[in-house]
Amino acid sequence: MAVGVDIWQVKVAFGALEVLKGVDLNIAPGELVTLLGASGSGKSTLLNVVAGLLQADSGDVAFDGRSVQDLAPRDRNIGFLFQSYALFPHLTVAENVAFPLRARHRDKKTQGRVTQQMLDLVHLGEAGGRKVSTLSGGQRQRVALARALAAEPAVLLLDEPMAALDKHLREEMQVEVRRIQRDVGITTISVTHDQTEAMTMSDRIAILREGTLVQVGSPEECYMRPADRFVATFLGEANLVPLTDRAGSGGTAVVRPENYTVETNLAAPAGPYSATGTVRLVSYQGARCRVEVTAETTGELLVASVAGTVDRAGLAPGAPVRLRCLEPDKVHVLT
Amino acid sequence: MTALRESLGKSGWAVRLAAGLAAFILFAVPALVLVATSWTEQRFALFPPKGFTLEWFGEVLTSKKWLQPFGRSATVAAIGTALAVILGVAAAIGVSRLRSSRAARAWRTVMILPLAVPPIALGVGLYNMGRWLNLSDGRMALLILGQMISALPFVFVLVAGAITRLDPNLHKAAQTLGANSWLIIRKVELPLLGPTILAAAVFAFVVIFDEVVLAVFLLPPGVETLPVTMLRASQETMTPALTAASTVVSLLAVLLLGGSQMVGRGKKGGADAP
Amino acid sequence: MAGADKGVVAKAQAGRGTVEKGVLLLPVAVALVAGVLVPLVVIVVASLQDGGGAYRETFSSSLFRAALGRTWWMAVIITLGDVLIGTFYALAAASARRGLQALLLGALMFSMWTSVMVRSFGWMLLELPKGALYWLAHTFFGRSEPIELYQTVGGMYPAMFAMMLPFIVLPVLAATRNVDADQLKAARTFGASTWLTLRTVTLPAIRPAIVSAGVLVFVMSLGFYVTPLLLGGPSNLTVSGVINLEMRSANRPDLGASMSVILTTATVVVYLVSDRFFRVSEKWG
Repeated sequence: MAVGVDIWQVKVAFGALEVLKGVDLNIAPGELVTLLGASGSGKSTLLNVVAGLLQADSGDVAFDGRSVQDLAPRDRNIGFLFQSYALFPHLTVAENVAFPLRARHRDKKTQGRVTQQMLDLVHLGEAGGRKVSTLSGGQRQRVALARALAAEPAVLLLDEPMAALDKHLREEMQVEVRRIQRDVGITTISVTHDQTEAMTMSDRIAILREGTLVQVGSPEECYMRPADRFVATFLGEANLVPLTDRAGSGGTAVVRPENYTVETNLAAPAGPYSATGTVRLVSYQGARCRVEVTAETTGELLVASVAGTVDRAGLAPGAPVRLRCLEPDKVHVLT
Repeated sequence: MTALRESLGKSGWAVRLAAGLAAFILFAVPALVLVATSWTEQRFALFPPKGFTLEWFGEVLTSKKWLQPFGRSATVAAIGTALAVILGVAAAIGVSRLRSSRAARAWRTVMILPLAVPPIALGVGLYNMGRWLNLSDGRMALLILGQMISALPFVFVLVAGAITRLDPNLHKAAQTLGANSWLIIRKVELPLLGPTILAAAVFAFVVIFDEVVLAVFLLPPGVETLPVTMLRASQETMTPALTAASTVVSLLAVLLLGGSQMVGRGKKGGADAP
Repeated sequence: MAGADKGVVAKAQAGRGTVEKGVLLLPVAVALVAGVLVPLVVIVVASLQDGGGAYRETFSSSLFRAALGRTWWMAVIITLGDVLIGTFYALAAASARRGLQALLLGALMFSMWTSVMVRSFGWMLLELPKGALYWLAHTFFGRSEPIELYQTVGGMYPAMFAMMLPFIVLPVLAATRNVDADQLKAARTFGASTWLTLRTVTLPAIRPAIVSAGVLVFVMSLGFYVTPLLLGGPSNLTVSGVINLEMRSANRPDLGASMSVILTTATVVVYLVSDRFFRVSEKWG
């Protein structure tokens, strides 16, 4: 019985600083939505408002259509995963996971059974008796997740859940957390500044900038059809090519680097969105090759990301090249 | 800290040597002289001791003249400590709950204020209070109140310091997991603060046990705590029995406080989390 | 959605933690009122019973005026001296290797855990005319006149320095943890001298602790009673000693009260004013 979350015109200010300027967001039951933004965008503030750890100046938050604004965090039936995990250092793994059950006065038998279920769910079935201090970073995160889910909360809130993990473990846990979230079917709001994490884990991404939502949509939508220049450059890399139509006022084309290929034969006919310029830098990145080009007309930096390798001899710095757009129909035009 | 050591360079030696000398002259010498005079065979406490006898320790540990005030001091200190710990820990946790930083600051100022009130003025005030309230038998209660107040700042500062070193997310995490205030205090905060509270309790006990100014003002004639007995004895003559009593009391304090520190260290080492 | 009842909701939220805070803070508030505020009000009332005559008498008393000057200068000298000794003691302890560190801290802790009176006895036995100092001077330098230190102003100072030293060393030592190791290393790689590094990196990090510890030592020294009584003797009374005299020997509780009011006003004002400017209570401990 997953629960929908409705956020309505939430405003928060710390003194003169407006951190959230009226945010609306509706999250469907069982959906995982990621709040993505740079530091200071207000994403963590919004999560804390949903949790009740912070009081909004105005606006409302509702779970399943019922306002939770006047409920304390402990009465909202949420699971919160902290960036630092906030495991209780004086309790064992099992005692940590059992804590929310104890707070709800479940009997000892239920506590033991549910705790074991939760530890099995996160693949730590054998670790119940261990001290928190003996666990690795990844194990701590699993315990924290098991604890957050133990009391069958209505909503799961993740605050920069992967920030304390190294890159390899982070990728593994992104998939793992997503699996568990799907298995449990719990409505989830996650906060991150890592766009790859947002793309990997989310049903939808909500991009925040300076306290305002600038775009909400599936990862594909946000990447392929960014709402504005900010989203275009924030989510992945983008070449913003100005268009001039006959009237003189054109839009801006968003051409992703992988949609450009590099040609040294300038005599060939130019396609749409193509540009000429001189090579600035070529760098090899394993599966792909990145070519930076200074545009002839605007002097701006354009980037192409080419699959495989390129002819390095023809791409010495200063060499004249043309960037040709591979799939013009995938180019999104901002007006 | 190694970096600090390196930053002092060659002058570091001089600083550490001077500190060692200061420790020896200011702390060690008076204590050693006091202890040494307690085994002299003379009737007056004078350094250097002549001969060696445990007679004075025997007298202190068996005579009612010393044991009765000792028992009274221990009782008063136990009650005062219990009160100071309950009030001080509750205050430290309560102040950590205040949302307004101005209110928290005002509370800290007030909690440490008793340190700034001269003991003699507090004694005069409590003495007058007792007279006006016509408390002839209640003076002991006033004494306990006053001595508890004198230990309160230490309990508060120690515990409040430990609270600021706790991960603030632990409290938030417990809230989101459905715990009410009482459960958070009982199952999260008190266990984590345990070693600090124990250390604070022992320190408060020793502070109250040793307190003499309030006791001099508030106790009726003939009723004495140990420090009052010792003060009165010292104003007659310095006897080896007095220095023996001083040695015993100091030894007890050192054992008690040293022991509580060990327990604190041991506990902290076990539950260490990054 | 419940956007309409905003005022009610906000009130409910504000009221949520109040019960908890009340339960935690009310008892200590009652204790502080009964154990500090009421006694202080009582001495103010007692000192004013003859319409201020007690204050006139207090200020015209040469005994009190001498004691006031003596107490003030003693507190100044003890504070400045201990701030200097204590800062270097803390730096020595922070920079020492394990063994020496244990020794420095052990001596300090043992001393602090021993009662002020017992420690004063130790100094008495040193300073008595034929005490331990005399024995030392006699044995090694052949001195035969008794030492004249006991029951003089000079006799109080070493003991007072020792009593107050831990109250400087411990907060400053705790503050040395705020010294940034990388900044110290950076200063060294830039070739800064020991003195420049101390002044620009170490001292700024520990200065708040030094100031707040110094203020509290000053305030506590103003109210000191036992050590001056035992070592300074009846001709070198501090204000506390004179108050004791008025209360217990001269049977003048009105003068005892007025003097207590003056002394407490001084200590409390110094504490509150420096707390306002240097945040003493926040930096201490």
